[in-house]
Amino acid sequence: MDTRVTALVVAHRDVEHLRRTLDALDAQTRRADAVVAIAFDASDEVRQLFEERHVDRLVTTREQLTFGGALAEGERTLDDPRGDDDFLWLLAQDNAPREDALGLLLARFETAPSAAVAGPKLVDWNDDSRLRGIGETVTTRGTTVPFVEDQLDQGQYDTLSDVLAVGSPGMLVRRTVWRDVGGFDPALGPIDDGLDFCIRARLTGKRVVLAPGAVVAVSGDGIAGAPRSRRWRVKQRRARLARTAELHRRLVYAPRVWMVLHWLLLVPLAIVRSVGLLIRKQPELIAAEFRAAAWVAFGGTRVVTARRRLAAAKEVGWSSLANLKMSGRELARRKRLEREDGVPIGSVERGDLRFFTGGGAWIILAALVVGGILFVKFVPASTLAGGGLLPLSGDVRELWQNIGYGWRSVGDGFVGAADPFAVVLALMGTLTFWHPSSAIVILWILALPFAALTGWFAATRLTERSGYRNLAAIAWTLSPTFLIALAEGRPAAVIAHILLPLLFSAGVVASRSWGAAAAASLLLALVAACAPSLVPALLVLWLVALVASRARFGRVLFIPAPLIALFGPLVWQQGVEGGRWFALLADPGKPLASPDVTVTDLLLGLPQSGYGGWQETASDLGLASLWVTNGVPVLVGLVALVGLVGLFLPGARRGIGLWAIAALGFATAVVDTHIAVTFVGAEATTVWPGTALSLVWLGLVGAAVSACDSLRTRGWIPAIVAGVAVAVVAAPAVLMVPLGHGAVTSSDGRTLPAYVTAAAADEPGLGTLRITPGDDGAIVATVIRGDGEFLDRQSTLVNTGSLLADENGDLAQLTGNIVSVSGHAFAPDLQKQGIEFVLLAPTPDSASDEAKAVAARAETALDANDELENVGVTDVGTLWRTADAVDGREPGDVRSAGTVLSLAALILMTLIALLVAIPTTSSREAARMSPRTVGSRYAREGMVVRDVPDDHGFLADPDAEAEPEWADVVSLPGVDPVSEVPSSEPEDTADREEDARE
Amino acid sequence: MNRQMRFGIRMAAGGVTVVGLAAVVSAALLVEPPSYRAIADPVSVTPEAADQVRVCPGSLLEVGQDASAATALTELGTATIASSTSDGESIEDTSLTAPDVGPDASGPTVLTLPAGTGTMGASQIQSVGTDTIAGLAAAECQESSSDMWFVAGSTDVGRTSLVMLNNPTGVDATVDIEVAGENGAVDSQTGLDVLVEAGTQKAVSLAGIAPNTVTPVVHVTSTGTDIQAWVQQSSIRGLVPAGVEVAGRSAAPSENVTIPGVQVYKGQPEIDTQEYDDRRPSLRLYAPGDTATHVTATVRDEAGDEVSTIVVDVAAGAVGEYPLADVKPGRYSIQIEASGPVVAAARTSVAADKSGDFAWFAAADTLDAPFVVDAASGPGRTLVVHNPGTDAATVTIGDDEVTIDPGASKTHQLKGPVTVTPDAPVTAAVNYTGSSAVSAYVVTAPKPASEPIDVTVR
Repeated sequence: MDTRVTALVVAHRDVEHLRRTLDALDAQTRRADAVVAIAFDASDEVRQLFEERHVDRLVTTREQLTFGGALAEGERTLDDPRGDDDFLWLLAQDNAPREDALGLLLARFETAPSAAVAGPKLVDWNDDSRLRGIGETVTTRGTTVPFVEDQLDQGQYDTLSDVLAVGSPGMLVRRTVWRDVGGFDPALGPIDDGLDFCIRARLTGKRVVLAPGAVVAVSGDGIAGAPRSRRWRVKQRRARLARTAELHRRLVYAPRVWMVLHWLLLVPLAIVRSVGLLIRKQPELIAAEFRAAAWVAFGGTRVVTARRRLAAAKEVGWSSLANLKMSGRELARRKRLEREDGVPIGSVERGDLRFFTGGGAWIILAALVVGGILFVKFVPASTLAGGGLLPLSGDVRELWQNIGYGWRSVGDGFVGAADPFAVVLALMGTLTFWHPSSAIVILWILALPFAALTGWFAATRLTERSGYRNLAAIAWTLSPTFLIALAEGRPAAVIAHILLPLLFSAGVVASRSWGAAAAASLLLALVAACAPSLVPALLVLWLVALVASRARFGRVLFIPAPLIALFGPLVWQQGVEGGRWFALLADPGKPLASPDVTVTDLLLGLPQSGYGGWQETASDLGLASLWVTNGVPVLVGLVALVGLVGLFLPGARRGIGLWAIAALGFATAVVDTHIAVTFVGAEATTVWPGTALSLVWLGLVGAAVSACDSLRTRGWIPAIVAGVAVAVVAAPAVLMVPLGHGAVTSSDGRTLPAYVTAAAADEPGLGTLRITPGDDGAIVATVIRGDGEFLDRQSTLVNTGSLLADENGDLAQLTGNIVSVSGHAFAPDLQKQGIEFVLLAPTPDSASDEAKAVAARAETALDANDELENVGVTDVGTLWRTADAVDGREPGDVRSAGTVLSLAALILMTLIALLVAIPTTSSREAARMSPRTVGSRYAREGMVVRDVPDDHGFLADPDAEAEPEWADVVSLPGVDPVSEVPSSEPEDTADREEDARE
Repeated sequence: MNRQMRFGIRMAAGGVTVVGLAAVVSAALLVEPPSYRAIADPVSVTPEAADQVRVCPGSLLEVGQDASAATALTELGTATIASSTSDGESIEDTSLTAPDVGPDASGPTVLTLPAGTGTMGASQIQSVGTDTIAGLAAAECQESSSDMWFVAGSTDVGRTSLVMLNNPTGVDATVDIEVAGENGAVDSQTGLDVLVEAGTQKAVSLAGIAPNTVTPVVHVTSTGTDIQAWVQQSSIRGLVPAGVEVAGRSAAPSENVTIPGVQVYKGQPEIDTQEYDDRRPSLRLYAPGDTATHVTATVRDEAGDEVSTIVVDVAAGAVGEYPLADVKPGRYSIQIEASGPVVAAARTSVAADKSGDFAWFAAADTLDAPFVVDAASGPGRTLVVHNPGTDAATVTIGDDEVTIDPGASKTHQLKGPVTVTPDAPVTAAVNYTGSSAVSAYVVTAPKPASEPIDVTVR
């Protein structure tokens, strides 16, 4: 009987592609007997074109149809097939067949009567020699594996005949089979529709063959076959469709019991795969993953109908397909080959880090020695005290209970948001879990080497020359504000100074790498937790980075996510509920008075007056103060001058960026000195400008280093000048601690007298009322519960006065009466408050007369109170205890939705950031390919060419060239399976290479 | 061209950046940004008023009345207490126990006025006439304190001094008694850490702490709670008792000290010798500290005119006693100005045929609130109000309103309790003048009601 071919052409909107397709159809040697056009949601031009070409039938519809759906529409309009010899040729608007395509396809059917589907070779629309598809198969587990996606056509697949499936573009199908199997699955879009059809066709006992001689050009519009556009939205859609198709087919092909299991595992599997995507640094595909899982799980793909369709047509078992599927091992081998194909021979990658050879290790070692000498008296200490230092809670569990939103046991106890700094302290304390306070001792002793290390690593982003990197490390370590923070005992400022260079180094490359963006996000959260006053400046820098990253803004957009999760509860409570937005900038930790400072001092990078200790040193040494008031600004000016020079040299862009950072830091420091939100006693003290000055120092040192780098070898003079200037300015600050001017001392970890800690060991809810006379004759009353004050229990909510620790004034009345001769009966009040001890803080000799008078008054009154017994004078003050025993107050255990929510958000954000930050092989490869420095005058600065790898081992592997084993089984009669064993080639290649070298 | 353009752009960008930085710096130097300062609002707490508690010295004690028990203390009779309030509130009275004396001892009286608006004044008087102790001793019942100076007493031959420590509170007190004499501070451990239990009286013999000290000054400090103390001094010359006095505390060391109501009695004893005799009217001075102090003591009469001046340099740490020479009998006030803090008191005596008596006049703190004087009845009880200031003061004594010139004193014969209302700080003392029985005490103010205090709770 005559074969009768009806071509079904599906078109959407692309007229140019359609024109070429229709021209190709007209030019066929064996023309199609009928052409039915289906135009879905088509533009007028498409319809006009169809009408011009006089297609036999035109079906238009307004709906958005899949390829299968459009074909079904078209097929419905045809008469019933006469017999086995009626064929359908499936074409989309961008499938243009060569003239002999239809003839060759039909010829395949003649030689294989049991074939039901024949597929052509697909080549690129614009380039005939590039293969775009030739047959598909699945692995034993069900993953689609196309044989080809993008390869040069060298005839390597021309001998393929029987395949499991072919792609849908240009497929020639017997109409009877089409009817029996029920056409394409309407749930499958452009991906896997042909595969599914061919599998179902094979399950009716028919064969699917390839006609490699028939060539169809495809463009990847997305109607037949996956869309090939590289745009982000299309990539998302492709991922979603591919995953939907995979899950749908898994549910449809599985036996009933397994289907239920697979269906239950859909969403959990999506979560697990999302974690894998995070690790693989492809977080943008997580949405596609979840959408696909949800769509299939909730029946969007009509699994039951598909199963019914499959069962109705199925005649042979699944085992008949087993030979055609690809084993997992084979798939792994193919992937390995692909990867090896992709390795460039002779790559250009970034040079060595040269940490050891370049002297960086020596600088760290020197800093370690200097730090050890300076802080030698802290080495045997178990806890540090003084300044802003307090011990950490003794138990790691308590440390972690003090984060998030929940019960805060400071003062009277309240439910509120903890400081983000508590998270930093918890992390540090967990490192030395046997005695958390030791972490602070170690931090102090190792502060200088840490700062040198981070400074050195940040400098690797600016310069490849070891000398300038070392300069940066030295200058960062000898920053006066850092040394003053160490001497005064400000742990948050010390940690912020150590982490800032890491934030810089991750942040400048965040736009090109997910790993760097995630690392930057975690570091931003940590730095902001230590120094909330820097948050406005850092957010401005983030906005600038967002704008500068243009198309790749997604990574930079993620950066503040952990910061928001960490600060969320505090911002809510302090800002939204309380309206005290300025109080969010308060320094965390123990409140410490900020010394007076002028704008000139801030300009010199010093957080207090006295020229960084030079004024005292000058008077001690007998130098005229003129030397100091002029000398120190000149020295700092020299460093700034080197940085300014860099603005006029090539590579000025990063100089401008760094100076912008310095200017932002300076503005923050100036504003900081005008915001007084933290109460030390009864007086508000300004935010300490030192952390903002660390930012200024970052910008200044960075500008100087980048200027030296721009000067290349001639920059060694400015580098040495800058280094010496910094060292001279910092000299008195370095010697502050050994000479005894520092406030930090070693302690035994007790902030309350031993008597109290012994009593509190049995009853942790016991309160101590601490009374501190102030300089103006007023007193400050604090209630300390348990065995003392701890750094991780400090709360800015209390220190900024946002939270009234004493709502109805009971405690104030009690304290006011207890320090005076009064007729008030104290026992019931003390019992109600759970206070057993009263501690009168010592008045130093330098205190004012009013303070001494108040102290005397308080002492007399407390002594004379017959409800209190004088325990004695301790080194933290005079202690009284109540005559009767008092029951301590139990800590409140309020678990609200807020606690769980904030903790969950924090854990989620941190996990996501950590997973994305984990370096993988491919991310390290990608990083190696990119230059380490940023913004230098030469774009490929520091990149080296790797040697051409030795190919001997590669080619000698017999596996590398052998055919896959399944190809031996399936072969057409008359065609030998290809089997080559490389015999003498390796030696020839080796000889040829040696000749070439000589 | 490309290179030149790049160069030009770079220069321009660099220049703009430098200008921008300069603008930021100058803006910071010139413009003062608005500041935000959080204000703590401390709670002003006015302490609840406490009860006024005045302790009386209790009856006079004799040491070693029974020769077989040389250190035993015996009560000599009971003192007469007089107390009254300004607004008629009733006063509770309790007594302390005196375990040193014995379980049956009557013990000193403690007068408590519940917290209210009124004020209380009380005193006691006792007259004895045994073979060994004779004389009149009057003392004000006073509120307790933790730091007291007693410029009185003597442990010379024939002189017996006792330090009476009364603890009216419910808390034990640990008392340190430090004595300085004419040769400097007396180093003795006996007077340190004397435990005075709650609600008891303890009497410590001064001879046990500082024997053979002719002109002691006693400094009593207590920790644990406030107590009240007196120095009881009795004198016997040969076999003739020469008087007894219960001396109250002097004003705290200060550079300006006033001793009101010093009375030089008519019957002055005859003194032949030029050597030290404690019957001479004298001024005892002590300057605690390390440096010698230059003191000018001006004796003024009732009208405020200067009668005599003593200018001395008191050695550091040593007590000096200086006779009030050429001062005729009468009532005087002594104004002391010193270059450093000093404590002072004056002593005068009276002699009769068979006996004599002496009186200690302590330095007084100023009184500026209305006060009640209730002097127990005794011979010649007189209230002396002295104006130590530079402006005239108007004082209402009972129903009379008088004006006292600066430096002058006003006397008022007492017939019963009287309320005195001054409009400026004045000092007051009560004198008893009999033919051979004299005594005096300074009127002290109640403990000041505690000032309101600002409390910030963190």
